[in-house]
Order: sequence, then C-alpha cells, then structure tokens
Amino acid sequence: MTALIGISIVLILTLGVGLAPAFSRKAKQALSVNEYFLGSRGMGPVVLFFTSMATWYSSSLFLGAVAEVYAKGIGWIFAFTSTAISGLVFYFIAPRMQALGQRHRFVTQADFFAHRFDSRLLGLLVGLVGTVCMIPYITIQVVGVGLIFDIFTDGLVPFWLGALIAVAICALFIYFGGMTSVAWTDVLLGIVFVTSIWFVVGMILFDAFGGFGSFFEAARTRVPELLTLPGPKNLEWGYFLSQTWVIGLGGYMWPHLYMRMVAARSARDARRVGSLITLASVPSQLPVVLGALAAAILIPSLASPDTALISLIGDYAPLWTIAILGAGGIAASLSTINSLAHSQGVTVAQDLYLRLVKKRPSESRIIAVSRAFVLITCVIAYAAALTKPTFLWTILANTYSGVIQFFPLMIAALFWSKATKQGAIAALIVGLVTALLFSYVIGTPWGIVAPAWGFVANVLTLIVVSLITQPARDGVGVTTVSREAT
Amino acid sequence: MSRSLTQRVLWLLMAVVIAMTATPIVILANRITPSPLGVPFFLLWCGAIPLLLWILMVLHSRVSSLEGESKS
Repeated sequence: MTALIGISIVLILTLGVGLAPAFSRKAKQALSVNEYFLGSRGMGPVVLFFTSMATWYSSSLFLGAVAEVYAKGIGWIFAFTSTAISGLVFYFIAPRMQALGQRHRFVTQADFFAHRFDSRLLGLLVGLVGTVCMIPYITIQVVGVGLIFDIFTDGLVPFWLGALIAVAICALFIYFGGMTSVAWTDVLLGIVFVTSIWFVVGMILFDAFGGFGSFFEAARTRVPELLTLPGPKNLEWGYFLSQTWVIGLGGYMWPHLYMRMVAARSARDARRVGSLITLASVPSQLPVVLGALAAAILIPSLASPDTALISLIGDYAPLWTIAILGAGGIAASLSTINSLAHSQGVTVAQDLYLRLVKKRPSESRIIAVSRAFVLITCVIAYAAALTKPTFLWTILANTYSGVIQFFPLMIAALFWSKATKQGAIAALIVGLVTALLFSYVIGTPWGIVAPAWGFVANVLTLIVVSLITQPARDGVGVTTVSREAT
Repeated sequence: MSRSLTQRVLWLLMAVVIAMTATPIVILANRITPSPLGVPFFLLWCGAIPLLLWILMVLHSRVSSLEGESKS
C-alpha cells in the first residue's frame, strides 16, 4: 500500500506534465507535424539532456541490471563505458544531424539516409528495421512496468493491471501532446529516477554498513568473486568488450534516441548534451550496482534476483522508502515507454506511410496516422507483454542486431564521399543477416555478441560494395551532404 | 590556434577511449586491489573512463571553438 502511494503520485504528476503542453496550446491553434514529431525542433540543453538520459535508462536497468550484478557480478558495468561512448557518439554526430535536419527537414534516420544516398528503398529498409526492433524493446518495458507494479504493491495491483495503467497513461499524453509532452515528462521522470534510487540505496548502505568505506570492505571480503571478471557465471572478455562497443555505438542509432539529435534547438546545445551524457553515465547507474552488491552481501541466494533491491527494504531501510523506490522504478519504465511509443508512431508515419503514398497528405492526416500507430503500438506491446517474456536484459541486447547496422552507414554518409547506395543497402542487409545468423544459428564465438559480428560484416560489405559501384549521383546527395557535414 | 591542435585532441580522445576499453589494458585493470578510497580497482577503472572522456570532450570543444573564433 505504501509503495502504491509513491507510484500513484508519479503517475498523476506524469499525466499532468504530459497533458499540460496539449492543453496550454490555444484551442484554435492546430498541432503541426513539426511540433508533434520533434517539439518544433526547439529542445534546449536541459530538456534535451533529460529526455535523452531518461529514455536511455529503463526497467532493464531497474530490474535486469540489478539481477545481472547480483547473479553475475560486476561484468555488467560495461554499461558505464558504453553509455560514455554513446555520449561521444552524440557529441560528434548530433550537431551535424541537428544542422542537416534543420536544413533538409529530416525527422528520422531514414530521411537522412534516403537523401544522402538518393534511395527511397534504403529509407524504407531503415524505417522497417527500426520499427521491427522497437517492438520487442517496448514490450520488455511494458513487462518491466507490470512487474514493478506487481512486486512493489505485493500483488495488490496485478501485473496485467499495472502494465495497462502505465501504457494507457503514456498513450493518452502522447496522443494529445506529441514530442513536447514526451520530453517534459522525461525531465520529471529522469529526476525522480536518479534521486529516488540514490536516496534509497544510500539509506541502505548507511544503515547496513555505516557508509561507503565499510560497504566496499564488506564487498571485498564477502563477495570478491562479484568484483572482477569472469565472476561466478564465467563471463567472457569477448562479451564484455563487444557489448561495450555495440551498445556504445548503437545506442543513439535507436530511432527514438536519434530523433532527439534532430530535435535539438542548436548544434551547440547538441554538442553540450553529448558531453553531459558521458559525464552522467556513472552517477545515474552506480546506485544500481551498489544496491545489487549490497543485496548480494546481505541476502545471498535470492530466488528472484530482479527483486534484490526491494528485498532489502524493511530490514535495512524504513518501510516507507518502498514508496520512493517504487516511484523510481515506475519513472525508469515510463520514461522509456513514452519515447518508444511516440517514436514508433513517428517512424511508421514518416518512414513507411509517407514513403508509400504518392501525394503528400495534409498535416492533420499525417498526425492522425502517427497517433493511430502510437495507439496500435501500445496495444501490441501490451498484448505481447502479457506473455511475460523472461530475461529482459538478453532480449534488449539482441535487438541491437538491427540498430547497430545504422552506425557504419551514418559514419559513411557523413564522412566518406565514396559510399554508395548499393554499398549502404548491401551493408544493411548483410550486417543484419550475419547478426541474426550468429544470434540464432552459429552462436557467439569467444563470447563476442551477435550484433558485433553483424557490425563487422556490415563495415566490410559497405567498403567493398561501395568501391566497386559508382556513386549514385553527384550533386544533391553524395557530395553535398558529405561536405555539409564536415 | 592551429587546426592541428583540435585534431590532436580528437586523436587523443579516440586513443584514450580505445586503449581503456578495447585493449589488453582492460584485462590488466581487472583486479580488486589497489583500492583507492576503498573502491575496488576495476569498478574505479570503469568509473574513471567516462570522467576522462568528459574532460577530453570539454577540452576538444574549447579548442575547436577557439579555433573557430581565431578564424573569424
């Protein structure tokens, strides 16, 4: 019941903040596509930073990462480095994407690739891959939020109802407010997540160990196997290093995260946010690691490691802190669900619908299509979540097989004028097929994750095919964008 | 401010990120001791990478904007 109070407050605040932009708009003022899709490309550094960060951190961090550290040890902290690398990617690519996006009215990666390589087919393929990859991603977020409701309220709000409430709230404010609503709710949810988890984990560490120094001393003596690789589950170096780079390079290739690059108000803001993302990677993820290690020391052999943090409350923190932790968990989930659902609506409307219709529809028609797909996405994700797929983190990691394929194309599009559309299309297909082969048929030699193999195949294919084919067209595509970008 | 300085910072940034995350140096850092401030060494190593990258990014940003100013 206590947790339900904290969760309810977050839900009400989220709904209020989410609906505020929609209702503050003058009644006669129609919502434009630019506003609904990208918040009128006016995101300042604070909003841009929080929406990028809150979207990145999800229920996979709150539940999956806690379970990973608890059971397998510190190997999961590749997340510190991968998030830092993703900040570096943002730092270098976002200012260019923002500038090009403003000039050419790009909304998604597909727009950029289709323009740069002068290929409608490539635009469709990129849109399709992005859309397909986002379905499992949003599904696990809905599973996460349902589990959080179930666990924190001790079954008072069952999984199906919790997931339904969360999805319905997100669908409601996305429907009316679009990107502006999503971004402002992310600011709220990002602050709630970071402060709540630091507060609760800090209380546990001080109550159970008396401070950080004695906590680390206890960790060194009681769970030393969790503090280095390979850890109790024999985690391979190939996994650790390849996962670092796959998530680092592929993270901002997710359609919903890429859209934040082009939604920036200026290139300068985008660059500043890139460096902040790198700086914030440790403070926002460290409490999860500390909390999981504390649970491993204090309550070893938990049957369900996902619940490690909550299991500490009661014995090592006052019962009321469960409300704060529950609020943090819900915040982590909602901030990702809203961005994914909104982005799915935008991607389908912009990359698939607009590319397939012959005559450009009216603004209101485009928004209606996007809204319809936001709702459809929410229904599909909710229905899929009811099957409760397990291993949240593993599912999320596998979806990188698709999005990591955009990174070589992005770099080539910006910096290599010899890249051709044939090379880009072949690279995307070969990379994707290779990643799927390693994922489901060959396995992962030396622990190197399947998306990394796909990435290597993609790069090689892009270089070889581009060199043996002629540039698509001199002028608008190849030369101009490469020159504009540098 | 010469253009080569911006490029040098850029190369330094790339070298640091690759050296600290994708070379055998990472394997050497995989240890509990020494534990500065009581923090296990590998945890400290992984936590230091983002901080170091951030410092280099700020440096790169400053150098490139100074270069832009001197050009204009």
